[in-house]
Amino acid sequence: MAEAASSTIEKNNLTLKSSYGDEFVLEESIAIQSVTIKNMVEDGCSSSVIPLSKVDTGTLIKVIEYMKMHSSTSSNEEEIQNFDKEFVRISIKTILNILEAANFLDIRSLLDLCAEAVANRIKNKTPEVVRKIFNITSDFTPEEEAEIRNETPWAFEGDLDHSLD
Amino acid sequence: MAMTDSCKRLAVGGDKLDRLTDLPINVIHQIQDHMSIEDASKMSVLSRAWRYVWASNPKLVFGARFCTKRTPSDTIEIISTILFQHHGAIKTFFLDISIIPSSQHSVVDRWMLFLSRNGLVNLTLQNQNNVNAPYKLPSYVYGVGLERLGLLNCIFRPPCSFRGFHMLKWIHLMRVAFELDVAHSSLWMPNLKILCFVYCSGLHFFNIHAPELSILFLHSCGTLKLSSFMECGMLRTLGFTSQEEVSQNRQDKAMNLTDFLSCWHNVSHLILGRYFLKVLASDTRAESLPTRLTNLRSLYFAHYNFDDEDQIFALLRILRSCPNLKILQFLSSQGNIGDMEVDVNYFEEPDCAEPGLNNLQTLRISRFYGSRTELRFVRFILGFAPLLRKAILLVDSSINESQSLKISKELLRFPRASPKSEIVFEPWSKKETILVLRC
Repeated sequence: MAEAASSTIEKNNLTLKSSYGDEFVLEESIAIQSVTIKNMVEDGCSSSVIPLSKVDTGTLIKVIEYMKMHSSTSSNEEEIQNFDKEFVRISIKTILNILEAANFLDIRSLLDLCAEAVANRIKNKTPEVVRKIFNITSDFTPEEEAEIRNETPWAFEGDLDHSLD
Repeated sequence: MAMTDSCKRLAVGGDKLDRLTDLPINVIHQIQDHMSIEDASKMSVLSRAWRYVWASNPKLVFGARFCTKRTPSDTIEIISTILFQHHGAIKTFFLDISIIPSSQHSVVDRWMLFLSRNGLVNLTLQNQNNVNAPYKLPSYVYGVGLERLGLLNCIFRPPCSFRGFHMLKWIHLMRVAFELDVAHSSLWMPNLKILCFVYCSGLHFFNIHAPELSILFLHSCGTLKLSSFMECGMLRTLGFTSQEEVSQNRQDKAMNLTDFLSCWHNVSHLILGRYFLKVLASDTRAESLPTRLTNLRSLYFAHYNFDDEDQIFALLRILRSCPNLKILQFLSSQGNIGDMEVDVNYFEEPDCAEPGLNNLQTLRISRFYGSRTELRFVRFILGFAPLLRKAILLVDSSINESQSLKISKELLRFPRASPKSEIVFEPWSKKETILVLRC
């Protein structure tokens, strides 16, 4: 009887464990914004600690911060919009970390927010600059690249942004 | 495992990893969905791994910005090339054809034919500016297993064999002219959840079997009979509004509030425009509705005229039948100068508050003019709604500051049944009404 009661209390909290081994206790109602976690809860796999081997501690802290804000009933639409705007004012490396975590955890709104933030760093940039920002090495010969550019000449028209930020 | 991964990362030089290329393809496509066509297609030259990434994106969006940048013939040429260079299915296709002259609509037909064989699921066609040249949807589109369909300024004329889109979940049509005849007027849409028709015409014969329909919104579709939706028992959100006067004989004979609301007793959100309210209310006045709308949580009256007696009657009647109403909203509109002054004593009768206001939490009046009837109405709500939390009154821009001050002083004097009620008195902005309508 007493055991049943205590397990109901525990049921309301989940423990998430980052890839570095750090543990975070979070209310179930907040954590189930992640479809991956929600499915685990529904399948009864969440009784102990939920290991998130693909999410490091720093990223998990950011993800939890996001989920807490988005499940809060006290914040209105405008506050959430401002929060989102501030949330993605971080390095591209961190955004990519969160993006991967959001994809793994299946948090659609967070995935979308980060996808947009990445897109904003690519917008109107030349391919050379995009390669630099994201450490992409071109393995095309100059002739091959010219050929591909010729397939879509309209995409390279107008003033393009050469800056790195 | 995790540790070895992070060690490996450090070993190869931390920040120097190409993380973007390593993302799953669906995530990369999602990033590209936030870019212009130009930016996304440019990514094909980044490296070999990127060569066909954009060309395999199942979502193609040619919005107005892309389509109006160049001459119509260049735009047509580019879109054709993109379609033929595409790898794999195109599930979502959005196209603004406003700049394509109607003499060249046959090009769009060819694109539609191509798409109809390439896994199309979501189709949106906008034909914004060619008011006099609606685009006629070609016959092969009707054979596609569409799940979402959005059309603006098009002609909907299905072939005789068409019986409905069986997979369709969402349909949003604006300024669409239906050319249906009796033979195929009854459409079977077993999966349809959301239907929104705005300024659509030619719907005399329209009949729909949509047992799953949950949201229905009709605006200024004069010839459409509401009885077409009688069998949609799953409806949760209903909206009927109109820009023009809806004359009674154009509506079904059997149409009155009682009939409709007893069919749709699960409705939780109801949006009514003034003319519909008038028509619906025109049967026997004083009696209350036999069916209680016990599920109704939110009521919205668009272009409500507080100086119209019929509308006041209808309002009071509906209120009496909604014991669980939580949110009551109005977009107020001033009547004509010659309108009769309403007998405000309607609000004084003790039984008119029963039981509609017992659970009311929010009253919101947009474009509040502070007319005598409006004020009486607010006083009535404040006086009889024991759980009211907020009365939000958004003042119309025609009201100047001193008038506004006078109104707010009067409001503060009204007795309140709810100890927790708060009055919010602010200027109105159009944006807020749009947000409200969306819920």
